Amino acid sequence: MPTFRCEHCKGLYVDPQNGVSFPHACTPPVDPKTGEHGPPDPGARDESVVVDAVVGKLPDGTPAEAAAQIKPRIRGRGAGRVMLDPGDILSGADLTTIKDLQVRPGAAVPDP
Amino acid sequence: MAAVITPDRLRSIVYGPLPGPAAPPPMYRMRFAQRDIQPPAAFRVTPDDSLVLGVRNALAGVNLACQARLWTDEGDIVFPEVRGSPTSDRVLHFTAVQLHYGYLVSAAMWATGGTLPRRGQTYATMQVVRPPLAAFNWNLMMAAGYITGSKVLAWPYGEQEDSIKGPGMLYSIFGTTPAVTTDWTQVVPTGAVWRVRGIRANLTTSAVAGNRQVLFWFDDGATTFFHCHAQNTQGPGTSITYHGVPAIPYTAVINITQPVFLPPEVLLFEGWRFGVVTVGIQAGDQWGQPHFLIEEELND
Repeated sequence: MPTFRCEHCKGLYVDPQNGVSFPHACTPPVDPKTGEHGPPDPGARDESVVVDAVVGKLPDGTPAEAAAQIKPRIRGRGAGRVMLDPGDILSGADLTTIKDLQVRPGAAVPDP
Repeated sequence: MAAVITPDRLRSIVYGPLPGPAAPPPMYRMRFAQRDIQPPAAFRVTPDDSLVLGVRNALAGVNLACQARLWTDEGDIVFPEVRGSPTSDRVLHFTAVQLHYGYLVSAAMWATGGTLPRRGQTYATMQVVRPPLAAFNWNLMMAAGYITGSKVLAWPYGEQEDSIKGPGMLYSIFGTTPAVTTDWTQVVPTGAVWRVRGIRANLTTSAVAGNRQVLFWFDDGATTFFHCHAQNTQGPGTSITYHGVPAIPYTAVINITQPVFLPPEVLLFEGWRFGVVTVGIQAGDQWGQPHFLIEEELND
């Protein structure tokens, strides 16, 4: 259960948890007066999985059978993420630890 | 330490050692003419047919096996088989096994090994289709449903179970701890449907003057459905834990705790989100790691 930091919103998260992935998505901008949030920031990170094509023809005209070769990808990469620790060092953390993790150097890692 | 009985082990107990190729048991040969046994004509297959397995899986480390029984034209019972570990991205993946001349007698798909899924984690379908696979000429839908440690997807007599009918898998998970002076959000994973059963999150406010009003929101990825607001505001220099509880009546704040009403059944589709907005948030305010109780089913 590695601990990551999103380099777009600086949010801290652990993924996967108990063998299951729960994707990180940056918080959309909010109007602090009304409490209404807008659409997601176009440059935000969203690790939700998308599949570009399942059936039919691909944009380049490739027959649909090749769709099975398409690898699912995340919706938005944003500014990437860094791994702070290969284990879960976030759960139960106090504010001092959270503040430390928000600025601690991390190792750049590929997207899930 | 006692060995864990897995379906693999159980299978070996039932069948015993598999016969070697040099000594096929005589009962494997079921010649139609000799034994006057009529083949199941409705399930005639040829090399143009494929046994196609569709799997959506959320749990890493799951291993699945599928084995069919095919009564060949030569009178042999053969066992087309495929084994593998599905991806854990909740995306629908298909695996095709080409068949050959004969009659399909049965098929089963089950979980093996030490990581066994629970209901809501591995949803599978079995069907016979004809190429092109992209067009999926669905000749025979055999079974659909969740596979668990002791629940096998089987045909004939297999059911076609919807992927969403409850109850799902329960997860106690943590969301993203946001940056300072920022609110948090959680998105429903692709391929999943969530029922939000509980939310717990702590807000520590800085010394900057001003009251903060906390509210939870739910949207479809763009447009907000509704807000659920805390009954009282939070002042500077305080730490309050907010508890989103389905159908809880509004009650007085108990010191460091505030209950927040949630609708009794919050059902969210993939890509939909929920989160918090702190109206009047001030520099230095910090949310702790939010904690959720989620019931998840796969969305097929």
